[in-house]
Amino acid sequence: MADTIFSQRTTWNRIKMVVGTIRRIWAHILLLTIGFIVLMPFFWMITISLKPPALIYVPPHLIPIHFEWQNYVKALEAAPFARYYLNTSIAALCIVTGQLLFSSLAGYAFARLHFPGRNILFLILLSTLMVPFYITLIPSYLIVRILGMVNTYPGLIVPFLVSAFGIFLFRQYYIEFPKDLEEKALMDGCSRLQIWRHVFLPLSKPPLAALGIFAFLFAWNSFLWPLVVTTDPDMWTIQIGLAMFSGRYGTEWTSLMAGTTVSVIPAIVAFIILQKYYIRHLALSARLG
Amino acid sequence: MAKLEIKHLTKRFGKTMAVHALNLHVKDGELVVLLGPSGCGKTTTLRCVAGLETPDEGEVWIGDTLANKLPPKDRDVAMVFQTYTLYPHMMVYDNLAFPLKMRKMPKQQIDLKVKKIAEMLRIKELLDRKPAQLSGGQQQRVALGASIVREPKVFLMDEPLSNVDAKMRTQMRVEIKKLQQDLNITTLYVTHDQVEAMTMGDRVALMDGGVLHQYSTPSEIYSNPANTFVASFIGSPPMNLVNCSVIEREGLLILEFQNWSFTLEKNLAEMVCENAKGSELVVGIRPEDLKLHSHQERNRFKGKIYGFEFLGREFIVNVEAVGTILKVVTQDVSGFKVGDTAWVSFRTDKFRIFDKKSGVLVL
Repeated sequence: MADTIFSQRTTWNRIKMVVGTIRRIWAHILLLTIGFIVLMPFFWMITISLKPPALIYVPPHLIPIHFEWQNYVKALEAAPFARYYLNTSIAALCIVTGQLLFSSLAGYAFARLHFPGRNILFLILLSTLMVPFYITLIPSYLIVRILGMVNTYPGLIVPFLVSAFGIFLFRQYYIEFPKDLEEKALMDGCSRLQIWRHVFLPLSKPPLAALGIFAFLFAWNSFLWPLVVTTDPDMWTIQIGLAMFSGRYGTEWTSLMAGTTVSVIPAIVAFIILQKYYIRHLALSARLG
Repeated sequence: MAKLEIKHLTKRFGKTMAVHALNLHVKDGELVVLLGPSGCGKTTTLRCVAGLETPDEGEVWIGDTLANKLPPKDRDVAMVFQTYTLYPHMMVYDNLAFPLKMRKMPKQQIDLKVKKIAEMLRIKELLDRKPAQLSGGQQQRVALGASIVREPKVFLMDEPLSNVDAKMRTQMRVEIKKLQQDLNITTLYVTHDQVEAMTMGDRVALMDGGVLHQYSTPSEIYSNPANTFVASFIGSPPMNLVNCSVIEREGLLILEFQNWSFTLEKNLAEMVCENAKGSELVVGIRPEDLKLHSHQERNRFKGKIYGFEFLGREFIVNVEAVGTILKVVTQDVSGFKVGDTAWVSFRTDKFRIFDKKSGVLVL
């Protein structure tokens, strides 16, 4: 009897092991498929950027036979990409800094300070998230023009220094902070601003990384607003520069892909550096949500 | 160092009266314990002294300064929270140095003070660690150090040992008491643990429902509880409380219990007559002041053994007698088993009498 029970248990354990292995294999197949689908466009982009123009439509040469590094040189010489890089870098850096600073400050105020109208103000802030960018595009342009910021860095930067989404992100993060920590800082002699600076901000790596990535990608990939607010080619950003490769009569695909590859590098680097904190933020949000 | 004076302190949260007209005077260098069950108003009182809550009425005097309108950082008080509350992103050194840094003390002076405190609390080797790398006891010592380093006038502690394991708690009680005595800091200590209160406090303020029930030394509170609440809260096991009625017969005052009566001595009878408001009373006697016997004698009442609780060095014997279950603490239970009849005697100088209606001590 004992032997029968033991052998039944062993069989059941074996079945569980096999089922577990099959599940893991399926999970890997699914993840590899998704990974392939996500990475394929990047791979295709790099492939085209290294092919001669005549061969870009000809399968099955997924990997170029000869690497045409000249495409990169041609792309960077076709337009002042160094200038475009500079403009985009300045705009992105300022936008990221501004959003991180103001979102963190405002998030702290909404989460931890008590003032009249706090909740209503927060609802109004949230409601702005529902307004599409295209609705406010023209009014924003008119304001920028009146303020004399067309064709200037402030014109590219100022409208995006504050993010309602960022404020919301930080507010939700700071609400979970223990009250004792803040009270201890009060007893230690901190003002509210010092509490934010010395206690809350240093403990905000996950939302700082998350918002930093969002803000950077938004600023780096921004096309419509820079197009609207700049007419001087010296103030163009990298996305406008890349769009010049598409003309009325055709697109210079190899140069476009070469320029795009170069433009994508900072975004990838930023994500690789900050992903640890971004993933931690996602995990925290999932646990607390 | 300074004295602490709380005058007529009242604090409400909505309709709830958290603290009602509290008057408390803490002498310079004294350690006073605010003791009571959860929700009695002890933490609210502490937070009003710290400046983290604003009283609705009353005054808080720290030394000769009226502190009501002062923000926490200007009151010169330091607080140790229940959850240790260290800055998790700072090393131990920075946690200790932070309050001094906020007061713009020069770096060299900060360094000297931090090292001195670290030496005193035996945490010098922990200075370059983060709080997450410390044990509960170490974190508590760092939290103490971060409060002491400022040399405050008053030290406030909100149940600092409640998150520490039992063994460490015993050790930390002694350490905190010694530290407070060595530094001679006026201290207000909040706890719900009466063992902490009785072993650490120079005086104990027992609160319930926002009201102060008794404020005296641990021995006074133990021997002469001011009312039935104090009697039933202090002591483990607490004081036995037995209902009785008082009658006068042939010029003598007799306490009538269920199946037993006891005649009061003349001087005691006079005091009862003076202070009691009605004929219904409550007699209180500590478990260690009761004794079990196998035979009857004068001033012994009959009981039945209900059960035993073995505590290692002594027993708690539950005895069904005089209409209730009495607890008797004794080291010798030989000859007794559950269901046996036992005769219970008591020390006549140790029992207390309370008025049943008001609960106030009469004798």
